[in-house]
Amino acid sequence: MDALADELRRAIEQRRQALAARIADLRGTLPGEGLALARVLDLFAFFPKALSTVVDQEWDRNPAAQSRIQLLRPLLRHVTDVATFVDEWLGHTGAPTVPLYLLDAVQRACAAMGLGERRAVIATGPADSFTTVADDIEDVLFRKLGPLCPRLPPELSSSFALMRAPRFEGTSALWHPILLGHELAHIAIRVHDALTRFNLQASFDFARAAAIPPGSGTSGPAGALRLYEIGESWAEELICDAFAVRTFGAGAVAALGEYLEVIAATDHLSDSHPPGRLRTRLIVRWLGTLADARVNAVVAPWRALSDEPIRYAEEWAQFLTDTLLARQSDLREAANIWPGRDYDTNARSPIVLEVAEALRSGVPPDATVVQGGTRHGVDDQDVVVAEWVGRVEGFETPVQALAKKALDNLEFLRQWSAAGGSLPVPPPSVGKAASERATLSAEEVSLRVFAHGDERLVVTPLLPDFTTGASLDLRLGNTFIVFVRSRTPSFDPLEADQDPRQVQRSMQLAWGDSFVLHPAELVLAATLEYLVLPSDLSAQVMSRSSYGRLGLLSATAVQVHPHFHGCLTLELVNLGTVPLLLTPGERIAQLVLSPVAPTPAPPPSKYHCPIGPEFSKVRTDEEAEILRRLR
Amino acid sequence: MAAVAAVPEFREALLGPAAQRLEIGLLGARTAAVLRRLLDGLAVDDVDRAVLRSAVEMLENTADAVEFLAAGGELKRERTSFGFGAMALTVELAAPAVATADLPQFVRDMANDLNELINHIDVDAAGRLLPVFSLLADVATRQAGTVGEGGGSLV
Repeated sequence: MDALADELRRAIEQRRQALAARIADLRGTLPGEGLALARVLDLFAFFPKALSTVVDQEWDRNPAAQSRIQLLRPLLRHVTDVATFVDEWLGHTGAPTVPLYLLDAVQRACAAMGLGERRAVIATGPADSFTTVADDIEDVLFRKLGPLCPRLPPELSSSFALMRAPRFEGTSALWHPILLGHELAHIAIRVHDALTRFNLQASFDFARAAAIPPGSGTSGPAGALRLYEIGESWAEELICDAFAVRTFGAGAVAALGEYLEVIAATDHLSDSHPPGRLRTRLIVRWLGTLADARVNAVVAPWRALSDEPIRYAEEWAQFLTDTLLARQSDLREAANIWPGRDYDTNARSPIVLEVAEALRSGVPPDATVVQGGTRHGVDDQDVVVAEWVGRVEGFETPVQALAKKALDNLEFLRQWSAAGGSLPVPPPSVGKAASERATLSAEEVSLRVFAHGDERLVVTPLLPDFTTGASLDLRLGNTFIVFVRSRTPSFDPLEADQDPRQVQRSMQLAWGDSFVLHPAELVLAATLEYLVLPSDLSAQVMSRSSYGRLGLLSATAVQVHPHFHGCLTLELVNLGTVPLLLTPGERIAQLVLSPVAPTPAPPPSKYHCPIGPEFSKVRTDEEAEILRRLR
Repeated sequence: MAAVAAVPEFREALLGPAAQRLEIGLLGARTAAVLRRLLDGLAVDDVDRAVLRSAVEMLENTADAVEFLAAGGELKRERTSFGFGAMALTVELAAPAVATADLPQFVRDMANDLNELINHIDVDAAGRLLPVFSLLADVATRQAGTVGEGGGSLV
């Protein structure tokens, strides 16, 4: 027995040390201090220290081998679980799979829902689940260490919203109703004690429950307690669904309905989640009737499914289904007890369709749209529902990327305003005819920006003082492609099996963070502005002289053709001798516009509608194969 | 844990039902360790009292929960950190043969005995309670499953 206790202690110590090293590694690879992930890793870094204290003290206090074994076994399991969590939830410091605007959106939503100031961390993981740490992560980590756990240093204590989305597409705007609606509601249910207020026991037939074995369990008091626990889990999920519908309307029904099909949950019975068929029926009822046929089309598949009867051979599942169906109004009401911005799909449908038209034309929608002569602000939810419209109607433009850029723009503009920047930009007061000169003047650029139809030069987001002299100012975006020099001896752009990702990686900075560009270093960045050049304008990207004086060259591929759609890639090089700090959002380059004879739109290029810097695609050139054969 | 999908129970071991069982297992282990030291004639300190108070609270919550079931849903308890599943396990292990009507008092008597130990050393009571908490430690930890998806052996 003593030998086993000794070995358990050694096993814990080995894993504790490995965990501490892993956390330090992850912390060291973060691109910036502005990310909440840094704070979470700091919190987790305290765990190995606390565990060491607890194990040492438990060991000293309890000389009996059996006590030591009974204490160390679950602690060994706990440290293993924490290590697994760190790898699966916090080990995502590489490619920027989660757009940073989404982190800001989570934080804003938490504040609006009365959840306090929470820092958001969104991991990506398996394809079959969105998951949220609904309980306080400090509690999850340290409560199991018991009364011997040392006190957490106050500077490490912080509130988080820790979430995980499917790796491949889980963070796209289509699924925001799940992340920002359903998942955040799990936290709100605890903070606002919504399950107590929902009061499942008021309609729970305990006598009947005690006679039904829940799945493989026993009947009687213990069985009834288990069935009640399952009932509360199901109720919680349904309240979360109701909140998603409350805040995203048709977007929530489309997202939840489809995702439940993706994970084959329609008739799946589990202890933690109600069957998809019950969920679909309720979200469709909570949404109600939609007046606009195009918007209604995004929820039509789920309306049909929701009419089918719900019958289960498993008595416990039918019992819970019937109990909760009878409480559907209360479930909806329970999702109303905390604050939050309701989304009225019918009222917003005209704006959604305007946004959808922008997406169809290959433009991220602006922050405002004009409807019936009145200017309306565009909400994130409008973009989400519009993306569903575009998906159902089969738009040929890259709707997902455009919606992402639109949401990123909206977030930047919110932060710009919050930091004291002025908005919106007023249109020019006097209009003049188009110039015959070789270069457009500042006034002519303004007129083109505020023009309608084919004449319009799209610049989004548009910020004040966007012209200087005879040029349009371009701001730095927050995504960069940097070189990783130690991994590949050389790179051949024409080689079909050499992907630029072998020598480059993409990274994203939070607004407010800075990128350090070292002397002689090249980095790919992109303009904050998404541009669409009309058929009669071409442009050249120029370095801004103020930065040129510091040694910064902004672009090597300077020509922009008519019909260009997208954010311009900037090849930034520091030709100076000292490192330069580049802050996303600053004016870094200029676009000089020239009239040309109207030209027809070319077929989409290999860099179609980029919303950030893109990896080189030289190897996909048609002539690349010929050149390879010549070699 | 909270998720939109039905993930396998053991996948999110740090957050899911397995974590609750592990917590009950640790509470059982800590309580059993205190009881063993009492039987060895050692005095209880503040840390031991905190452990015993947690165990008392868990037992009282379990008694309340069973009472509110037996009363046909008349809630007589506040929500606590101890899940209903954990209480079900406690009932099964601590009072496997006790009739439903007698359960609340049976569990409450155990809580009272444990509570007495906070202030007065009673070797007989410690001896009676030790097997219950030792079993709770072993069974709850075992029911937390093995590390890895599905709870099966990965070796």
